[in-house]
Amino acid sequence: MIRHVGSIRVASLPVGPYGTVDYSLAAALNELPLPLPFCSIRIQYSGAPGSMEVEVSSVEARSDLVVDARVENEGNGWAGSGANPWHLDQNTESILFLTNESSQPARIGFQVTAQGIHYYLTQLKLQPHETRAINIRLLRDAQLADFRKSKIPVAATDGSVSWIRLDNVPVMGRLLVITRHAGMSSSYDCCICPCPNSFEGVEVPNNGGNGLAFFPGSSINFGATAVYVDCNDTPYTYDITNTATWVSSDTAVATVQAGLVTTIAVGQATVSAFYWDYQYISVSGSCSSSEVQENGYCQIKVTNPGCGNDRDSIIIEYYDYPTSSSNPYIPVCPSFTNSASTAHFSFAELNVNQEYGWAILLRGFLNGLEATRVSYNQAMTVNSGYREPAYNADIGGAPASPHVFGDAADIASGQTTWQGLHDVAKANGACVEPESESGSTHVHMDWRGTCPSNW
Amino acid sequence: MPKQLVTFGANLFGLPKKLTRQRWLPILLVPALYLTGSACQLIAQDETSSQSVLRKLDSPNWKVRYEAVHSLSTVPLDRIVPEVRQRLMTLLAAENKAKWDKLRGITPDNTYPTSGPASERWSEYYAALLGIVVGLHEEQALPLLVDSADSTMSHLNTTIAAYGAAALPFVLDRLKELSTLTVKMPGYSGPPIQSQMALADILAQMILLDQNHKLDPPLTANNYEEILQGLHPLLLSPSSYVQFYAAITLALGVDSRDANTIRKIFAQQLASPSPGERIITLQKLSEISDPAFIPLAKVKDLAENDPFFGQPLPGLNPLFRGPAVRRLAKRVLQKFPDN
Repeated sequence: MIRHVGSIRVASLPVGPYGTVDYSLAAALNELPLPLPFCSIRIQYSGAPGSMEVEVSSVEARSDLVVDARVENEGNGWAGSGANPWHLDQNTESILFLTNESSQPARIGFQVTAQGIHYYLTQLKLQPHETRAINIRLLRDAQLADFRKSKIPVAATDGSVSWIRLDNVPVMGRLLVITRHAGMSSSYDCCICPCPNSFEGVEVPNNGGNGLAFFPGSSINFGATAVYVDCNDTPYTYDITNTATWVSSDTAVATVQAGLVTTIAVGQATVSAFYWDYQYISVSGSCSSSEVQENGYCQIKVTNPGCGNDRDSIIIEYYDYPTSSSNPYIPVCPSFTNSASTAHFSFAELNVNQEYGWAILLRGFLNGLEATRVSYNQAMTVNSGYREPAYNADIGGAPASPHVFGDAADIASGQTTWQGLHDVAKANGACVEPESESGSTHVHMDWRGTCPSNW
Repeated sequence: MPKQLVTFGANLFGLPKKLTRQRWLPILLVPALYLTGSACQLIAQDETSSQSVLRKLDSPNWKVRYEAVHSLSTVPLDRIVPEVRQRLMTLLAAENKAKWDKLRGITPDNTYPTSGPASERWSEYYAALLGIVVGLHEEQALPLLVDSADSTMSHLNTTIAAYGAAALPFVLDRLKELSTLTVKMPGYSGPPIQSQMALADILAQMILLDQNHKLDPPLTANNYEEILQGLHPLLLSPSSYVQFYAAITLALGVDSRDANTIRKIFAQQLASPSPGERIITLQKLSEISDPAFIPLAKVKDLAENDPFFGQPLPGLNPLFRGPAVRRLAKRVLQKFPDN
């Protein structure tokens, strides 16, 4: 782990026009508690952009090794963005330094990529003249999810980090990959995009999807994210929840303020976030910009009163995975039970593999299944009973499967037991899927009443 | 954690340029849904709608075919135009072929889904298609229906049995065809015992209809002989259930040549540890009129000593009672007071 052990501000160093000054840090470093695990040096030039070059040389006395790291500033054509490989191991740290060289705040698009995962910081903003050190190890080990719930893989040792300025102000960045024991520092930089990122659009939850369902009186925090792309079409995102203009298409159904949606009454409304920002193109080395407005939106369905617990989450699944396109089944609060059982089947057995502790279990199903169990007079293992709609969809069940109505069970079987279970279930009023379709490994039985003709 | 938050994350991964296009999706979907919904209303008169359904029925994707079948399931069957009726039968033939090719292991055809829970949707589709073809009452569909029979105690078996002598050649041909077949499915590889039982079940119901004078024309003596000849080999099946269903039909048809064998099969079935299976056996025995086939000693034992006599089941609706083995056994014995 990296500890901040202290810092020293050395006196300003005047450099004359076209002059060169060598400055040894040995005396200054001796003022810090030694030995140092590593250290970084920040050089800030206070003159006009594009007029200063600096080079830091790290000297390893024993091995005669010298590592040079160039430091350049805005005006040299690269300082606005970067994309660099990082590495972490027992001896190696990677730290990104970003400096805002302007007198205005600077928003930064930032992402770390590792093992195919993109991790974003969407609220990174540098104050005027601020230098921010971002320790990649600390960022990885914190395991904080970004706005897409992504995390930097905890075991990742290599990846890349990229950043870009979202505002047209000079920002300098540099990634240092430091090897502690060898006293070496390597620096990577890259000339990518001369202009800031271009504003491309706005994302809100379920952008362009078929809508999210909530109950009246709910308060839901929506985040809005501006999407930017650089000159390589690489996307960056920035949180605009508090700065976007939010609008609801029907305030009688839902209102919205700074991303906080409050549902009022049953109905449908569209919640939109509008945002203005700039798109850039590079023309003969300078950036031409135009301001545009984009919006993202989400359709909100406000439905029946909520049940106040996990049942609400299950009901929402019935909207997300409708049982029928023309007449979808939507359960109500009393449809659910968290305790129904029979003499031979516990609630847990009938709700096997499900995420929530609530299920729909129809009385006719419980009667029929228990009567079948008594008639069969042997142990029966439930492979699948009630299915939440999302689970049912995951395993390829029919959208209107009797399982999602709490009316079916798949009972484990083998070749020699299949027909016996089939006959006994049918004698107790069940519809049974033919073995040629279910296989011999289980018997699907349900109590829908009118069976398909070949069941 | 509320599920919708998870959904948010999953839906945010598109690139920005895609997002711009996605905004049009709801607008495109509305007319598409409207067309799907309206096709079924106009199928009899509207040629365009018929053509749309026909195109879907021809789709290589079974989920699209399911959409067409599903839309037809709300249309009165007498309003389905001849071209669509014909295509439905052609489709059922194709689905049966795909299903049986898969069961035979000939093709790992991905148009027929893997068995198990993942096949449930296909199973519902197949049942819906079959249900419509059954409802068409087209005699030319009979061989297709016979090919589809693969389960005992189903409505399909009753429908086929009601065709009587007209269905008989197809059932007997199918029995012969299945005798040399091996099927493979999850958990089982061997003779197609389910289909064999289904065919025996159809023949048993046909005989019962005939004996109750419900067939027109009635079965002839020659028909009975064909049935008995066709079923006889099933008494040697490795499956005790196939033996049982064949034995029931042979006993109903009074094939006294194998009375001893058949009686032993029934006695074995009555010894099942499952009272439900004992009930089903006794129900079948109560339809047999010749006491030579009945293992009377075993039936008497059940009538007196079986632990199940229809007691109420704890915690259930009073309509759901335990199996009444004793009562049913007594009913069988009442048919043969002299024995």
